[in-house]
Amino acid sequence: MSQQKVDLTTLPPQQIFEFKRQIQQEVQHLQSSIQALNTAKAKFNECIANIDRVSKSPENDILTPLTSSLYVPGKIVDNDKFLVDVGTGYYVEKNVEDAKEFYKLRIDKLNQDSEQLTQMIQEKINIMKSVDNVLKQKIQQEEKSRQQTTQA
Amino acid sequence: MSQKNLEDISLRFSKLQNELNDLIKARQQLETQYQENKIVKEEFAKLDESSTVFKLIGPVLVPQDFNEADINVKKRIEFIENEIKKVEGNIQDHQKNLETTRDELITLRTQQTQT
Repeated sequence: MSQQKVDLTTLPPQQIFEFKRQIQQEVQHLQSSIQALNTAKAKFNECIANIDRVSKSPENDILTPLTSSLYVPGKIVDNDKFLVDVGTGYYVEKNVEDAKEFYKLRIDKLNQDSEQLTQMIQEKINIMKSVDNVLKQKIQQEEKSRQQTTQA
Repeated sequence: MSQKNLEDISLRFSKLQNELNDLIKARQQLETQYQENKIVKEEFAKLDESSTVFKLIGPVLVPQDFNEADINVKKRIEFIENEIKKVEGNIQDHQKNLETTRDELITLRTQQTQT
């Protein structure tokens, strides 16, 4: 990327408009990222809820999914052992506490990320507003000079 | 004659642009993989040899030796880092190429409008 500072007011309106559109796209991208983070967060929260349910339930009968449409009745042998997906296909055996801790850490991380993202979006929106102002001024100026030329 | 030249160069320009886009996509994919592997490495750092580790291969969980898994992840991170370096070098070359092609294009165009 070419890192050079350009004074917006020196650019023609079309280019400013293009610039604004670019920022708009970035904001949209960031917003979809936040959504993705929220979905991930919901998934991890569900994991914690499931751990609680399994570890606290006096029943140990479950239906085990073999595929998404085929189940067999099963019994939970040890409700203090969970296999946790730690990423890239690796699963680690953890007890209730460690498993919950693991998911909590993940959620914390996600919260931090989404906070950062929200900040970035706010910044972009501020930039967009000032770009808008410059654009308005430009258009007004052009209109004025056009009127003057027609009058002259 | 310069018409032919202009066409050639603009074709080359768009080809370079496409290639650059592909490279950037590859770079992004590598970054995702890199981040995921780093998370796994951090997680493994909290474990020790007594931990039970499985690897998902297709639909099956296969038991893995912890040390082996740990080494595997570290190796993969190294590999990805090298790949990232490679792709980044490629991207830089492409960008330079793109710039020179663009300059050629611009000079040709101005020449044409002048004649």
